[in-house]
Amino acid sequence: MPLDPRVRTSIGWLATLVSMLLVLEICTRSFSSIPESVNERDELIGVRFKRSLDLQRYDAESDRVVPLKTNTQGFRDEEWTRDKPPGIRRVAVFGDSFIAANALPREQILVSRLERLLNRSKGPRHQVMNFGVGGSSTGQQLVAYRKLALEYDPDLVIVCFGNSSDVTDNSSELSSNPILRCQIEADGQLKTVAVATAQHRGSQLLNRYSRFYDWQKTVVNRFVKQLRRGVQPLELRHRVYDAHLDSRFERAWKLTERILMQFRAEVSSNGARLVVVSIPASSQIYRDQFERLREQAGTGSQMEDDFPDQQLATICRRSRIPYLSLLPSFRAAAPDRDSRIVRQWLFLGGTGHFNKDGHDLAAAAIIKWLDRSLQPPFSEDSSDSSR
Amino acid sequence: MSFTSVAFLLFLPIVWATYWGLRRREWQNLLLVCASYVFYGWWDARFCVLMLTSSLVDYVLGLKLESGPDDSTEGKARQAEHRRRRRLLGLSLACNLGLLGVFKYFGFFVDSFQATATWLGWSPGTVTLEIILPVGISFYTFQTLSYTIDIYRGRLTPTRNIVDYLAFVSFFPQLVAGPIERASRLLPQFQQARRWNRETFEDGLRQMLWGLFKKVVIADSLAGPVAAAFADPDTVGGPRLMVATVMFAYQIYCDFSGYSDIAIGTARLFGIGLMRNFAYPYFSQSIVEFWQRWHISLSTWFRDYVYIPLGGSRGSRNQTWRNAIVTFLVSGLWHGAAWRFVAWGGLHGTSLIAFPRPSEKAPIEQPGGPGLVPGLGVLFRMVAVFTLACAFWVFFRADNMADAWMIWKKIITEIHIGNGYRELLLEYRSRGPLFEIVHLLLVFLAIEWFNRHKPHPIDFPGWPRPLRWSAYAALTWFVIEYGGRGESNPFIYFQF
Repeated sequence: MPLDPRVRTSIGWLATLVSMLLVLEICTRSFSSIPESVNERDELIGVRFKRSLDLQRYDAESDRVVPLKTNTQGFRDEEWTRDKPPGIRRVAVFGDSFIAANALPREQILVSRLERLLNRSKGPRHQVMNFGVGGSSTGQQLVAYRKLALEYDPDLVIVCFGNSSDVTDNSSELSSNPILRCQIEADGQLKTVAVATAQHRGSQLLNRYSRFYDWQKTVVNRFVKQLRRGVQPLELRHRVYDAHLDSRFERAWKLTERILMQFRAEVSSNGARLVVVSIPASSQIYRDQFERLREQAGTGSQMEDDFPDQQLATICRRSRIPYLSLLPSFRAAAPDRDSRIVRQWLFLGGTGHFNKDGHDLAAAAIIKWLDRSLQPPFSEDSSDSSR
Repeated sequence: MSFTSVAFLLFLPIVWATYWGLRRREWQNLLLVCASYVFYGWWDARFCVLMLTSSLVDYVLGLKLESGPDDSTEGKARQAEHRRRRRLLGLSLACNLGLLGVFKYFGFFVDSFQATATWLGWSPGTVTLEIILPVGISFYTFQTLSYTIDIYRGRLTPTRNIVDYLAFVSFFPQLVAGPIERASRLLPQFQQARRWNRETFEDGLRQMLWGLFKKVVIADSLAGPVAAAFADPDTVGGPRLMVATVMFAYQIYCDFSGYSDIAIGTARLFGIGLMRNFAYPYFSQSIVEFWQRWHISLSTWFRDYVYIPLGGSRGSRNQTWRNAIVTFLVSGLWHGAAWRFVAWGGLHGTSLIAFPRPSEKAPIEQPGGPGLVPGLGVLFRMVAVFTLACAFWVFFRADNMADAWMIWKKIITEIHIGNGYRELLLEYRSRGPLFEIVHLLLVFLAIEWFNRHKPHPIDFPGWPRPLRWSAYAALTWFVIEYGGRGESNPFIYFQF
């Protein structure tokens, strides 16, 4: 029996669609320069690395092939044992892509450097655990602490606060892609809501099986970014330097303060200590880059490169959280504060994430500060045994 | 605004939708004029003033040139009218060439004069003037020139409708890098109603896609290695320079013909037909044929307005040769204000004389002969012409004459050095950029060869829809992927 022409047309179009998608998938798998995403959405903490990865991956930022290994929890670290071995003190480090540091081999990154420096002296041995995930917000880090890190009983929790993006990432109205929404309820309580809808489950499925799906997301994001830059040259996240706080940033800072207070309360109630370290952006170190941001912001804004650090310092003081700004150490290491002087680069390409020198410098500054500021000094402290 | 920019991606659909929404020809033309000035002013709003001035001068002169002496005019009055018209044409030439002279050639003439004076032992004071070169000035100047010359010759009636005229001069798809249209071909299209045609629209999109593929995928991929080799030829071996020269031959071809394809395709979306500008030039079997296939709108312009007025091939053999050489020297100078461009033109002119002309004119629809596989003789001639074209491209691409000579010398004297080839082979085997480029070029060549009888190769009649659409999807994927790699370069011919 001959088919109805409409059915035949529909089948023809369906075959066309399937064939196009197949070709696009083949093109992406064979020729794409955009590396396969190593993150996946996670219902528990919003996002984490794909678990048990063990691959060599070209990183465009450092222009090198970097080994990328993750543990069964989906973090860039060794496998951790649930029970803390005797005599070992654990430090959990939370942060975003600056801490995950995909662009460098693991032995060169902040967490590994910290562990090495802490274990230099004869005192107790330290295990520094890397909970860094690219693009994660402080809210997500709090949830990751509750749901994952707590099981490993850390003695010290370091929240590395990225000055360039964490305030916007915390806010669902400023972030372009909020995965985990944090909000302050009417009673002042902090509530975290995972955005895990059926759509995201579908997206997860496509993420797992289709490279083209992953590719088109990157392409669309890039395009939207370019469009936005055409309309508003200054990226929204860079408004964090504007001392004339608009209402959205005011709310974002309030939310950040609430998250950090909650973080401190939960860490303290578990007998550990919380510290906050601000991770500088390259534009805070190199004046030429900041000048460009100032030009993009135009008149009417009051761009100050120290502003996020000042805000964070105030929040931490109010919340009684020990706080370290890495700005002074970084600025001292780049005395000319000019990104055109390559030998003073602390960031990849002078503008991205930390390079090896940046990680070394950050680790050394944190260790020095921990010893000086925490009473008793953390590296000599034996609080774990008394708990 | 560049064809490969995000701004153009938004600009085009807005203008296109408004254009077909307007329906009335007069409004459509007005929209095209406004859109074209926005398109052009995107680079620098001051350029628009220059283009408008140049256009208005020729519009007024065109009207004044209209009344020619008729047969009933008495002898003296006839001569006076001739003189008047000649003066008007001279004024048009002076204005247009004067603009070019100031904006494009001022630095070149001053530098050349100073160099000659210094060589003669006289040191004139230095004159420097910071002048920016308006994008596409050589293209629209030649287009308006053809308008007044054709009116002078009685081949065209000037238009009184200034909007139609401005639309002809500033039509944005071909404004900054051609094809250089003749008023007699393009102007009438603005004077009549355009009809929406789905087939033309679809074929326009296909041609745009092919143009984008050539520019974004092939030309921009070749740009990096070519620039690296030509930047410091002293430190680069002969074999690599040879490969870089071949790459440049394809870079400039894909860059410029890619632009032309996008321009022609875009114009077709608006129901306007532009002339073909490239017809698979690297499959030519003689230099004469090469120039019938390369930048056709410019070579025919020079033929009609320089070569033929000089006498063309009507005189003795020596006069014909002289006319050819002069035409090519001027054509070289048109490309850029530097002696290396003049040398490039001169080399092409000389090769026309030095190499035998084919006995028959090759049909434009059949480059490389009719068969699927070329005969040995055809293959030999194609390779010889391509080699010659590559050798001449060295002058076009090198930073100066000294570099060009050095590159020629290195290629010739180091052609036998095996290490250079081994290095290239290693690079290819390590799957570096060379690997990608070689395969891209092979695929590109195959597509061009098998479709060389079509105006553009992206036309698959008879293919089932899933296959056809998959091919378009794959090409689009490549354009987006390569476009996003951040290696975008401005179109080479923008600088001319």
